[in-house]
Amino acid sequence: MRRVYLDNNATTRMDPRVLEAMSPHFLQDFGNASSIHEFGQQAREAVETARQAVADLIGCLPKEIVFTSGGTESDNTALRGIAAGHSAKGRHLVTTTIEHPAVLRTMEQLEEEGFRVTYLPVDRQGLIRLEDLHAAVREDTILISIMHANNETGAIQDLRAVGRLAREKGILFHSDAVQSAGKIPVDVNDLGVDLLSLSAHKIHGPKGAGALYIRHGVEMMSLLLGGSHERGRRGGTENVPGIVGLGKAAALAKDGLADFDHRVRSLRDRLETGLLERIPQARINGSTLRRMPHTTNLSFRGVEGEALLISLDLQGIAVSTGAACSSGSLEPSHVLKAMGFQNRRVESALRLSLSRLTTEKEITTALDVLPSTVQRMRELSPLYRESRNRVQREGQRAHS
Amino acid sequence: MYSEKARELIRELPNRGSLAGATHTARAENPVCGDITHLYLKLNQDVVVDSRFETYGCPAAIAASAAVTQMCRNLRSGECREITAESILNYLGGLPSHKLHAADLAADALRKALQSSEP
Repeated sequence: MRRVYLDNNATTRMDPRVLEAMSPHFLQDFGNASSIHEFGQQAREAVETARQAVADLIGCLPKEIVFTSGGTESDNTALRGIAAGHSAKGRHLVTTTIEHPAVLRTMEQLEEEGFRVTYLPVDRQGLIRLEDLHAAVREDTILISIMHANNETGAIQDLRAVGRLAREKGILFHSDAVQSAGKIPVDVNDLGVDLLSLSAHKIHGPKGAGALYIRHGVEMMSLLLGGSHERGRRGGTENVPGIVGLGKAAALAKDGLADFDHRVRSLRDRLETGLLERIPQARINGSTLRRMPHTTNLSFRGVEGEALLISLDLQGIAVSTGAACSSGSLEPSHVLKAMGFQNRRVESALRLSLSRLTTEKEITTALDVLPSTVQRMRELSPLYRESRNRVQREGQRAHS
Repeated sequence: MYSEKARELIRELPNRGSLAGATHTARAENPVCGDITHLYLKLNQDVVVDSRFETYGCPAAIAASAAVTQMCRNLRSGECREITAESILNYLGGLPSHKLHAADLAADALRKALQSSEP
């Protein structure tokens, strides 16, 4: 059966060159990077080479990179580390309602521990309003955490403006850039962030590897104690193969940024335009102006997203409804809800996300299969029939 | 996640659509998740000779509705009344644990349809 993978915001296929770079570090160069013998020093060199590559990707110094197990750990470390390290200065944090659960759940836990959190709303485009941020910051605000690109809609926040405000007010600024780093240009100095999370498996690297950028001079508590690894900021023996994989993925991503913006954007646009032309009553959710080049989020009136997902899956096409992490639950997407959409529109949303490994053929297949599948599901849907009848009645009334 | 039987029903969508000449129909809705099922039955001398469904909802709701249309075929109305959410689940080979309510919706639609007549 043909297989089409359009769920790259959940995870990406590993680039064979990444696997090749990692391979020696399992059986051959397996040393502990903290050991002073030859085995250890080879591992240390590999880790530091990777650190340089990640630093190059986001425009920082290698010593400002802390390797973690992925985006979730990076987010947790940033939030909890700053909260614990700066609580004497203040106990207020600002974030948004559309963050990844790695940020939202951590914020909720911090609230239980006595911190105050302001959750900024977003508009129908999925973007925050700067005036809301201005109004939210207080004397005791110690951290602003705002994601760069949203995992469900691809909407890109204006981090430069947030960074300027944070700098003016002397507030630390963290961004979850898991969906943007390695896909669009991300420069920590240009954006004005103090902390930034990124992940390897979203850019064709291995799962279980990520990084947290911490601006030089920012003090924070370490989450994991037990060793002086990562300059005392993250205890635990370094995951050398994973880190090497992240480094290679970061280097490849940096080299491919222009191609990503051109080729992947063109594939996404072909897919999106084709679907909108072929499927009546299909609507884009979120901004099309400030949006990642590889993501589209569409609602198909009268069709339930999960039913459509399974139906497509049975035909070899992998897509997503809402965030992959939440797809086992009955809760509709918190992101689309926060954007002000009604339940029926949220339920009928499908996320299609591409990568630099997505092919023209995959897009062609998706354009062949998706419209007929939506049509089939609509023939089954009493909700679609009722809505169509209502439109027809209104049309007749307008003509009479 | 879904049993082979449920996947087959979602793929094939047997007995889908409305039924001209239905003698019994019902609309059932789950107010919590918002799933809606329309069930159409055609009874001749108290035997279900045709059955169709329309469903807006998750894959489990679609599979359970399709299952009911297959289960009640050629049964007398009294026998149809013995079809329960549990027997639908057995027919399907189970559903994911957070989707069990889909079988309730299908059973509810069948019960209501049998109580109705002549749409």
